Amino acid sequence: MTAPEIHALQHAYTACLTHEEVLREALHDLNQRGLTAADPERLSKEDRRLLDQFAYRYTRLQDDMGARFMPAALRAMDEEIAAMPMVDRLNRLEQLGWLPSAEGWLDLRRIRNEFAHDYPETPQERSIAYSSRSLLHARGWVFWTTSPGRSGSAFRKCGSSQIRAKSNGLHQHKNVTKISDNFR
Amino acid sequence: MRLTPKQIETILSAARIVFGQETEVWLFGSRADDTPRGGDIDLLIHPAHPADGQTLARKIRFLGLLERDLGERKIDIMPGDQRPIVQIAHETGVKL
Repeated sequence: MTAPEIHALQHAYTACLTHEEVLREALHDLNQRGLTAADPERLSKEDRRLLDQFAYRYTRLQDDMGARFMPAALRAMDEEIAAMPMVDRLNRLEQLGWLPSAEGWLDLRRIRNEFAHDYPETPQERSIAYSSRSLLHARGWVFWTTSPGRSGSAFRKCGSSQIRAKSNGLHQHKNVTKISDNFR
Repeated sequence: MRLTPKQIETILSAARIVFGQETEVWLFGSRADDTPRGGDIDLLIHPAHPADGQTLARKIRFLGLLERDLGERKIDIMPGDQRPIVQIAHETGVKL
């Protein structure tokens, strides 16, 4: 792996970590405010801000993981991805044990597309944020998880112990469960 | 209309699996007329069952089924309700 490739992986990773953190905060605060699907008509200014934050960070996390982090991680594992369409990359990541489910990831991406919907905003579309919460919970995982062993070996290859240390903190299944539990 | 009979069957079958047997589907937007322009598929769905808080999950599932059979392309799904755009979709669209 070249130095620029290492940097790309590092930067993508840091960006995704930030999105995750802010997204988790937004979800936590939404949960605290006890908003349900019945409430979309009566949004306060603060509620709207939280929903916007949720939608923005969800979109950014999806996009940065798909366009930056996943390609960089595949390159770190010496995968030849130049001609690989996205679906093939996801299947490969699933094969390598990095993604629990390529189809699951595509579902999360479809949710992301919902936030960029063309049609005029409606109370129904605002309630997408609430449904997303429960959908994410139902899935049991929001973020790309992998076993510490695999992430360790992949990051060792790119020679960055900094990333390896951070990755073991992020990619624990129990963290994901904790996040989901908050948004019941 | 620029969908093949097979594509129409795929869409209807997926819609009925996900939203219920009596679900109605309208095609509108650029694919509903015969001018050779645009690749998006715009669908209006009137689900068989009333909204049960599972609308988003169903929509995602429906998209998944369609993408599997129709390939990756831009598919927009609009739920049927009282908005003016729904009326427009009915007026300009084609029931599948």
